[in-house]
Amino acid sequence: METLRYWQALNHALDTEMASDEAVIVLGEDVGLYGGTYRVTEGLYAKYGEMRVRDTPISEGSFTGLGVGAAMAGLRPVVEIMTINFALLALDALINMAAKIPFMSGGQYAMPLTVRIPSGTARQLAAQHSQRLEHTLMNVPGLRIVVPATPQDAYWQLRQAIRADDCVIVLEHELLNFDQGPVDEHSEAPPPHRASVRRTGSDLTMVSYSRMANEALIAAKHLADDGISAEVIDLRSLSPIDWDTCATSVRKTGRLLIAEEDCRFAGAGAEIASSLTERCFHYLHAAPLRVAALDLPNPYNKRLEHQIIPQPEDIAAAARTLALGHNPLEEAPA
Amino acid sequence: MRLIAIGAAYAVMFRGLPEAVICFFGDGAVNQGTFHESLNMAALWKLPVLFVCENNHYQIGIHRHSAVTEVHKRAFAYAISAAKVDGMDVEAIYNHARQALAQIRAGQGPQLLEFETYRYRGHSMADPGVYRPPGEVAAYKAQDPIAAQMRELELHYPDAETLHALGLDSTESLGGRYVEHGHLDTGGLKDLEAEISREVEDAVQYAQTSSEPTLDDARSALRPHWLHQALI
Repeated sequence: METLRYWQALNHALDTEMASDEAVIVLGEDVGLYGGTYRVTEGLYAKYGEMRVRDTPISEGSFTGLGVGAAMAGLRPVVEIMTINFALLALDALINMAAKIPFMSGGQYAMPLTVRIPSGTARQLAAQHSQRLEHTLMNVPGLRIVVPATPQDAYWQLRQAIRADDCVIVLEHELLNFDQGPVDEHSEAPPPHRASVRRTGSDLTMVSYSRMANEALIAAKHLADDGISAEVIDLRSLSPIDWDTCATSVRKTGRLLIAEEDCRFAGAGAEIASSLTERCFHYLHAAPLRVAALDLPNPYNKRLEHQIIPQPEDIAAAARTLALGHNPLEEAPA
Repeated sequence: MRLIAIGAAYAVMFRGLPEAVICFFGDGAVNQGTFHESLNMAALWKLPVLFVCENNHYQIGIHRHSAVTEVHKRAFAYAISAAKVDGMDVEAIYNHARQALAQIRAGQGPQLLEFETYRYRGHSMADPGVYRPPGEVAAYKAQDPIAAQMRELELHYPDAETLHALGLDSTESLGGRYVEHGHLDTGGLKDLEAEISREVEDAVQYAQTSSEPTLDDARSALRPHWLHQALI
């Protein structure tokens, strides 16, 4: 067991898989000599050379597509798209190619492609550089999406993604890169898409993922001071979603709060609320509640950004109203 | 699909294989950014890929869609050697492609060939193709490459029996072109046409008589590699 930062855990995962399988290659903007915008590929260029750690031109659509073609030809490419905002240029490669080719070939082609995408809001990077676009990718059958919130999960899930024969998108979080945590490189990993109960509780279930799962944990600690016992589930994966772990918790607590960093409208939280309501309707004491970013582009202004992105106190406040059985959004019948 | 081609070419180069990847696209597909991105990366890393543009002069129904209509000239901007070839001439295509592929396999980097050709029908089942001036389709059909090649074979080649009776020396005296390129007599051509028809008919019949796919087939096609893994 060692203590690593999130980016170091990703770096170790890459190094381990590259050392064990020569077919694993890394490509993206500044992944080589520079060592990666978030240092994730640091040292790999010197160790494995330019054929396996390839600096690319600023051509997101084409180098992601290059990864698709290389995967079809037997390599195991790990494509880094510098941020989720630039992944918009690669959607054709991701959605029309990576997600479709195994299906359209009747399963004859595997797609051992990993796409690492640092995403989420950062600090004052403004509207075009701090988007959360997981909903866009979730709606595409054929893509698997993991969203590690801890260095340990970052290590495990990136390794599992590289070993998978399907296209797996690893949505990293830019604000988590310098988080520290224990990483055991030798213990057996849980299945890549299994949710994790990060804190047990009995009054309500908080379902979250990526950075917001950590924020939900902070909120749960505040709630405990008020005598409210919150169970916190870190989904770890957005496609597929581990419904059983969520439903077991919701049936126990009868209350569901979803915390997400993405905009509220048509976000992941909407899917989670709807699916768990279908599964657990008769166990629910109140309608599920979502705490999400306001439906606005993320502003540059620091104070506004803080107001738009949910904070632990927002999650705790919503949890209190839910635990008290009062839904602020529900209008009283006339 | 150019992206997939440069990816496959990257894998070929990575493994040091004596192979080349051939990537086909139409003239309508050269105004997408990925055309330029792919050519750039292919040239930058000397990827073993032959880009083949089948220039049929129409982007579905739009005839004039490029500021520079001669596609091969665009390759020069990426230091890729390129040529325009008569796409209605089978032997010209063969010769150019063979030479390009030999150089590509020898590690000399990508090339682009622009084959000037035509399509006789509309772009799709829903396209009657009426945007083309009268006579244009007929003019191109008159120089149909398959028909032209067949005519040449039929007109100029002695049949196998005649060649055999003449003896090997006489065969050689006909010149390299006849011998090296092989030959088919009238009977051989008919056999070839029959074989092609049979193959197509067999495929159609197989498709028509096969059972409809099930939802389970669709699901397992999407996730063929998930079956033996515990994902959750």
